[in-house]
Amino acid sequence: MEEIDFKVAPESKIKKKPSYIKPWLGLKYLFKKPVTIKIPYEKTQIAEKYRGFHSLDWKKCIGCNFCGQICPARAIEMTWIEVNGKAEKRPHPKIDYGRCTFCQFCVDVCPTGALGFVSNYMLTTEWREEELLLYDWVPIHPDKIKEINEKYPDYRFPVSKIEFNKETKEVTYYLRDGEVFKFRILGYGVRPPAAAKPKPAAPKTGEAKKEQG
Amino acid sequence: MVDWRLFEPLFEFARKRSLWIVAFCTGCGGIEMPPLMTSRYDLERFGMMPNPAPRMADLFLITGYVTPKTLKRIIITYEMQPDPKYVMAHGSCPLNGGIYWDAYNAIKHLDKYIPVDVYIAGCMPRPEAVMDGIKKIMEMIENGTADGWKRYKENYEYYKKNQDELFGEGWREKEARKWIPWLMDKRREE
Repeated sequence: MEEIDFKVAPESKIKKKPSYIKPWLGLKYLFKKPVTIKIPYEKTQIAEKYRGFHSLDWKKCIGCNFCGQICPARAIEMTWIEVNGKAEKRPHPKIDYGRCTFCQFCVDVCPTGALGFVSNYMLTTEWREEELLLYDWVPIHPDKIKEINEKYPDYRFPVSKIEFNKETKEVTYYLRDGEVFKFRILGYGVRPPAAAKPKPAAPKTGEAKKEQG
Repeated sequence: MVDWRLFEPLFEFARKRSLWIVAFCTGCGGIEMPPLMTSRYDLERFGMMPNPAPRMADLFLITGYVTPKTLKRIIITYEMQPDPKYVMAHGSCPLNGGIYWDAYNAIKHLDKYIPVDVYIAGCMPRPEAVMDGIKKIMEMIENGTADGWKRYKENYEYYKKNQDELFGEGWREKEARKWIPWLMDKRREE
């Protein structure tokens, strides 16, 4: 049997002698500058790639639902959207910050790079239901968020208020710089809803449904 | 007789400047609370203090997910607090289940069981975000819109109904009597 040598530090080196004087040396911090960051007046520097809220390039998104499949919290739901009376051909992800864990797997997995993230991380709301709608949004274009960030560099959520009309399914974003952004939600899920079938694709989806049924 | 309502603005100023926190760390937020209190992001500048006793506290921080077993304690602690009491929910778990959306043993919507005043997004929120929430709750106290404790009194039947649905009727007594048979067995063994 081989003998194995461990390097063990001797106890005399580790064990400190109790002292009556040494604890008083902590008093030297009385005269040093405190390290406190006075938050309402000062700001902290956030990492450039801090994982905050999402941004979505609506032109690039192809609605493949990879983000929805990889999301560990199932916070992403594909949404069919109509902007200015014109339906988008593909669904876009709607992200629910009541579930999102900000792991940003969805950004890594996005094949076209449409889904990105910005370093904004602050979102505080009251308890009212109208305000809780803020936690559930289709991300807006990254350039728009950058523009807002240059105006208000306080890392806050770029939308100040979201209105959702339950009857017409119309969503209104009141952005922080005063712009209003409107679109309609036609339906949820990967399949196109009956209300907004894109015309060339309509017979095809009907057939697919029949085959499965 | 003095009409104390005249002094309400003064009281509200005093309330918002000395919020004491119940040191009740649920879930992951227990790790995020010490940095808030220590020297880097010092919360004592706002007159806040982590406080072990619910009878002396104003603000209840729900930091992270809540299980039914914890929720019993949270409700009991919340009801022990004196009257102007406020609840702040950290992160996404109290709001909509968070990453435990599929768990059988996590509460999905906290505001069904106790009234919440301020929600903060993040998993976990940075200390700055929590401070933003605290700033918000101070504003709300000043406006008088932070009325969770009033809502709890007015809608007590709604909250009570939800709690009873989750735990079953008479859960307070059951919880108190839970350990008695075990203790009796112990005594018999000795």
